[in-house]
Amino acid sequence: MGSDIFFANSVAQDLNNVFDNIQNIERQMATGVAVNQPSDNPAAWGEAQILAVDQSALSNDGTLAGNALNRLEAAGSALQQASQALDQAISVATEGSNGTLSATDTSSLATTAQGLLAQIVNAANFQYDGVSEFAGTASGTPAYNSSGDYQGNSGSNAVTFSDGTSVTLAFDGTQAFGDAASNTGAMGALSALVAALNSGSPSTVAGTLPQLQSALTLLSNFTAAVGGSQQLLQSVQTQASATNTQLQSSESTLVDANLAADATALSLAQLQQEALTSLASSIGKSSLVNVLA
Amino acid sequence: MSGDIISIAQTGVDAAQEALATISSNIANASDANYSTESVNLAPLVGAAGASDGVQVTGIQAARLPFINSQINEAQSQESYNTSYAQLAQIGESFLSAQSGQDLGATIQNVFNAFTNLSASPEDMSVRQSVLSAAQSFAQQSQTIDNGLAQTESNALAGLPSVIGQVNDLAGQMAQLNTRIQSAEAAGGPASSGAPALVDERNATALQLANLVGASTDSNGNVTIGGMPLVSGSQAFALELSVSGTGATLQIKLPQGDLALQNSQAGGQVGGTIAAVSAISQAMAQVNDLVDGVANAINQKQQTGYGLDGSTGNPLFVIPSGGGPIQVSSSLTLDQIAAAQTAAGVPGDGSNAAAIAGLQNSNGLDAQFPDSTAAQAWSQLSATFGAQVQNATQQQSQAQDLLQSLQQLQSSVSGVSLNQQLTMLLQYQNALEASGRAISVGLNLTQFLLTNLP
Repeated sequence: MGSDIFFANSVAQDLNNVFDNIQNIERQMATGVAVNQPSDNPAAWGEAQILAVDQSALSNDGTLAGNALNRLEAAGSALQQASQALDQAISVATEGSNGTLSATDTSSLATTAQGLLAQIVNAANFQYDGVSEFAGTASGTPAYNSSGDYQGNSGSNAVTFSDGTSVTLAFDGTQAFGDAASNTGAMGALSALVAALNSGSPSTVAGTLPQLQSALTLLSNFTAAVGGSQQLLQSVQTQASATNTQLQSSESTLVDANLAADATALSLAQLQQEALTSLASSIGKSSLVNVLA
Repeated sequence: MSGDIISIAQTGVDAAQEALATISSNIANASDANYSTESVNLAPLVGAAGASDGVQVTGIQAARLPFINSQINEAQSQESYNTSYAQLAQIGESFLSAQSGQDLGATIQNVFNAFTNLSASPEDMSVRQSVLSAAQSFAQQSQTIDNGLAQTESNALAGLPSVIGQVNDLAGQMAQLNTRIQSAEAAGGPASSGAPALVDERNATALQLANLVGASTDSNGNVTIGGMPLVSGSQAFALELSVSGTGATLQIKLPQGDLALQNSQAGGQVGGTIAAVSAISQAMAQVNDLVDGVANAINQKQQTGYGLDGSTGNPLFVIPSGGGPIQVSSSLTLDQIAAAQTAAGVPGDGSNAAAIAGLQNSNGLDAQFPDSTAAQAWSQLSATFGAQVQNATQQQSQAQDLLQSLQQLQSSVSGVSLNQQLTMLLQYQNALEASGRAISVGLNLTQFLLTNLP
């Protein structure tokens, strides 16, 4: 047999607890999130923190890989132009090595070869967002001068993604185009061709053909390597997107509210609140007091 | 039977009136949770011949369960401790669980992301600005957490002196009550002594002391905190609080000297507050260790790299020598962000930026978590604090339930039941009327004898 005052305090406390519970459920239903702070579910919170950081890194990787891909695609176009120019140079050399050409024709071919050299220099000086793509890390200056002499350095720069995957974005131009000064690659071969045509010696011109073929092979191999890098970037982009989706799903499983369960719990809590309110209103109405009255 | 009918009936009237007064007092105090239902102890009035010569009130008894009282005090202490702890810890937790994407783990990752982007475009000034902005957000977040937790601690500690003042006031009241109860019990007498009411007051005081500081009170009113005396009989000793920095200590001033209390000896509101402040202080130190560890690792690489202007040795963050929240170096220019690993690599080399970004996968940036990355350390740190808050909240709920059960048990014995009192009211009203009727019969009989005797 207890006193009314205790009963009243007890009901008030129960009402407070039910009210807190209702507020908590309503917050979960409104936000759709069950874990809003560490104490809601420490283990889930901790896992969600890791997943959120991973998502952030992957999202950044995806965007960065997309940008890098655009950059390498543009660089690939420049390489393609250079490759076409080199093909034409081989044709010019083949024609120039024919001993039946007049001096005028040979001179015209020399002019054409000089133009092709300019095209390759132009392609090798390709810049993306103001950055020379083939000047090594000396990216603020053109990679080649008009003679085909390399002005960059032997460095390179790569982007490194959050999982450690690294893809080169800025290259040592000599690895693709060679250097006229050291008579290597496309630049060396084109310079030699121009000089041979200017000399008017078909045999000298013919002697540049192997060098031109070798330069084309060097450029093709380099272009293929850049193509491989593009594929790698696409893979990074695709993987980042797919993994991010998985992580979002995992995080959602961890922290999202179960709306169906919440709705049931809310209904029950509201019923409890109603019952307790009704009970509170009856406190103090002692039956015997009423009878005696 | 040696007495006459009138005098015997008179004892019945007196006893019934005493009982009705007690019932009246019970009903009047029905709303007082600390009041214990009182009842009269009746015993036969033994006449000279050894036969019953009426009834007498031998005392007023309060319905109490001393064991339950001490259990209630203990449960109250636990409930207050955990409530204070949970409330403060929840405030502290709010600074660790900022909006999604804005918490410390996210801001650290944003710094690493910015350096990843810089590795791809080391000459891009907008990317360099992003690095600086991310670093500033990281530093700002570390300051927000540190300031918030420090303010929580400060506010909590600022409230303690007034609570200690209340404790000392109650200890003084307890000593006075002990004196008055001893005097009342020595004087004897049933209702006039007021001892039951004084004991109720003492019990209520003991409950408040348990609530405030987790004090235990024995059946004689002696009060201890963690076994150390606060009230001994009629003497109360002063409880003192010393606050230094972010900690608080308690001592009791005894005549023979000050008695230092371990923080774990204090319970109730004071103990919970001190424990929560300690936990918050520890969390703050852990957060700062993580922040400083990450900032230091970034600085080390930043200082060995080269900026666009060819400079080297420039730190990105300013880390307080004694630890604490960081700041971005105000003198650092965008050009001085060291993306290149060598001077020759400037401006196009982003390998140092990549190395800084790679720190996101390095274990042990925070020495407390040698096998964890910064993100994992943050996850563990914040989840551990969350578990402490959750544990305190659960213990608070359990203590609340236990307290409620014990109070229910106590109420079943000590609480005033109006139905029971109204029943007894009718019972003693009938007894009073019956005794009055007996007196009336005695008076009629006396009148009859006076009228009819020759």
